[in-house]
Amino acid sequence: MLVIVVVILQLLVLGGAVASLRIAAATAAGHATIAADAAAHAAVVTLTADSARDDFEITLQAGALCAIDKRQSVDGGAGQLCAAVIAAAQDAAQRNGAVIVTLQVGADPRAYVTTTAPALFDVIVETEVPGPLARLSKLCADMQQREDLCWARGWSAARSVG
Amino acid sequence: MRRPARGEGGAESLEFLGAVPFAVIVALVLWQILVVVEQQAEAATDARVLVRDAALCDATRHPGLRDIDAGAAGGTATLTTAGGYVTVTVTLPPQAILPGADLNRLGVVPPSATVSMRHEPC
Repeated sequence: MLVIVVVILQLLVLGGAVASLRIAAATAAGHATIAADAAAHAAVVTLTADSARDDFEITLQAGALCAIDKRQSVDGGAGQLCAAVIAAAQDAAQRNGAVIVTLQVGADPRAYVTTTAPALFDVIVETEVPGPLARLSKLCADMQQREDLCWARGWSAARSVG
Repeated sequence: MRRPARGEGGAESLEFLGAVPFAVIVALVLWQILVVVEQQAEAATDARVLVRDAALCDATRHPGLRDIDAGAAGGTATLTTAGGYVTVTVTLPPQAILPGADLNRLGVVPPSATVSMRHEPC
């Protein structure tokens, strides 16, 4: 009988540990999403407030890039406004404990069909925060299947309103 | 399997009864941890909602914590503005699964979340 209780205790502890890891990963993903929200919002606020936004929109429509992609070592783009937008997004992400993995600034497709409307932009941001196993750097370096336990990611998008 | 000797009858039942409280305590502790973690997620959601409202240019009246989360009784929300950023910190009192238990006295860290967003220029 005692053996059964010990087994139940072990199952409880093991199940609790696994559940805790999953919950911590989900919580970290929520945290990353909040940081992505803040970063996308900061980027749009910077775009909206800058008087050079119309020229910047034309530059984007012409095919210029304003983006971050850590995976492909892309960081930056055309013009001072792009640098300001990226800096604002990175600052907002950092204030919320995250780093930006990808950021893409684009001209809103509606701006292609009208010439009189104010400049419109879309910003998409993906951020990451350390997951519950992030401190085990060697384990995380080898882990491909369950990397969400090492790095939690979240994304968000924002659109300027002119 | 050895047959119980005379006088050993019921020993296993006593062992079982002695171990059951440990199993119950472990289960309760796990349940309590889940409740506090859920509150942590709730604090993060509340902070997110409040800061999104506070970051708007035309926000004339900021909603309170109870306006957005009726279940946040006893919680606090602080709003600060600095350097073009609005920061909201929400702290909830840790909810005990056993009536009358005071988790603050047991050293449980209250669930808390802080979110910052850039303030919209007007």
